Amino acid sequence: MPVGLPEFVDNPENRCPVVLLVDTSRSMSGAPLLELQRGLDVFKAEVQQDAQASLSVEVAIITFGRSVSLAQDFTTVDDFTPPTLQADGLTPMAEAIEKALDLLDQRKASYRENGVQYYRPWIFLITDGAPTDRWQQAAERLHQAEYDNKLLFFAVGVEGADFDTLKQIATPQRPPVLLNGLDFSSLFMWLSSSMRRVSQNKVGDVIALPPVGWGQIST
Amino acid sequence: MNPPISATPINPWKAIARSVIGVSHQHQGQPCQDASAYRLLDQGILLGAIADGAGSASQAEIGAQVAVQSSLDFLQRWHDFALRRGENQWVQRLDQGKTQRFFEHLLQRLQHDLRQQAQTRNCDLSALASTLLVFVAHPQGLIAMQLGDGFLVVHRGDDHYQLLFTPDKGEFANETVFITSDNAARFLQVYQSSDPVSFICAATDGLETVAIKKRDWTAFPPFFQPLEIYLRETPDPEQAPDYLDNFLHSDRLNQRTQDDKTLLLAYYNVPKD
Repeated sequence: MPVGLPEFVDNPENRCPVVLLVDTSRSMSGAPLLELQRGLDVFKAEVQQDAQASLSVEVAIITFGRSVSLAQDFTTVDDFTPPTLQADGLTPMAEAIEKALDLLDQRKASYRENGVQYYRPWIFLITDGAPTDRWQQAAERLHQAEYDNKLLFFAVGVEGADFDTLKQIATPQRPPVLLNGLDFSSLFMWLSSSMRRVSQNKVGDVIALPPVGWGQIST
Repeated sequence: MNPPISATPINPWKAIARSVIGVSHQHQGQPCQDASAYRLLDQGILLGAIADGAGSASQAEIGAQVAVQSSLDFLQRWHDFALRRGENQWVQRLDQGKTQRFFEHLLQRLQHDLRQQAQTRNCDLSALASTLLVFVAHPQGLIAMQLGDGFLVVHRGDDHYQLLFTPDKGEFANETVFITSDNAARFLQVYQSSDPVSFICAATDGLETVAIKKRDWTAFPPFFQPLEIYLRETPDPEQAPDYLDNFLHSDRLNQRTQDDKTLLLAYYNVPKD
């Protein structure tokens, strides 16, 4: 006697949250921001190649220049249309970092309320300068979160960035990386590749991240 | 020569267990890291154990197999010893507290066996890390334990498929506890019931996403009903495993999960008066 097959329950995909902290200070105007903008398109296109990752990876973008602004609230890559970025003003990096940490806390609360599981979030900072606001408190908060295993923080400096300060904001186990010229496309290819691996991560697997071909780890 | 007619009643349980490699491990050229097995004993007892080797453990598949076989060996020895002492109903006599201590004992024994294996194989204990789910079912109910993720669902002939444990997860989707973890005993979950069950389904994490509603951690009945019907309608599932094998290898399932998959199914034939 033929038996039907087990039916599948509709569960939301595990989420892979990543916050991009993008320096939109005046010095980023022109080629740097244009290339970065193109990098965002690359990111979307690459992640979309993976059906599961498109539903799993969630990206938010916080820009910091004239002000700190949530240019993109968390959205799955499927629904992600990279916002047009404008450069102007100084570099309120600390405020941006604090905003990112708050945003993540809110997002996690939302996940829990809705029974959605998630992977360890990433915060990805891209800057060409130095923070123009007081950054020690933000850095401490960041370090504590890393120490508590709550997130992973990556810092990328474009040529001319203040690596001495960046090194103090980042963590020793993950020092800031100097981008090769304005090769944001390679950076975002790497980020999308990494996100795809994270989104497939099985219990206990150590994720091997792809090699950093787009920059040099600062010493 | 005909075997002597035995007065021992046929075990009322029928069962089948399958562990199948997932797409993820296939691509990486790794073996299936799930293990599963069951044993039918006298007194209408069914033993079952499943284990899911940790992805980061270099000998995860060995760890999972040792976990399953050691657990079943422990239970079988305990049963034999109890019978020799005339305690035919030893499982039925365990209340919640005694069940807790019983499984703590099993866990200690298992950790000892794993340490010995690690020595023999000259590897770290953590190389053998796996989760573990064990049950002892009998005509009047069952006892069960869970360490880590995976799920155990029972059906009692009403409409309610009951998930016995909430799987252990850390904050993040890819975290759980293993037998070899330092604080494993703290995370041991134990269950005891004196209500008979008619259907048991034990599975590893790979099937959680299609069988369990994560919003409120409940079993999704349309997943389990066809499996129960398959068992009920099949006199000897091990002789007719195609239904289960086809399901576990189906594209439909592999699109939803890239993980190794284990299903251990059991059905209790209620004797007709």
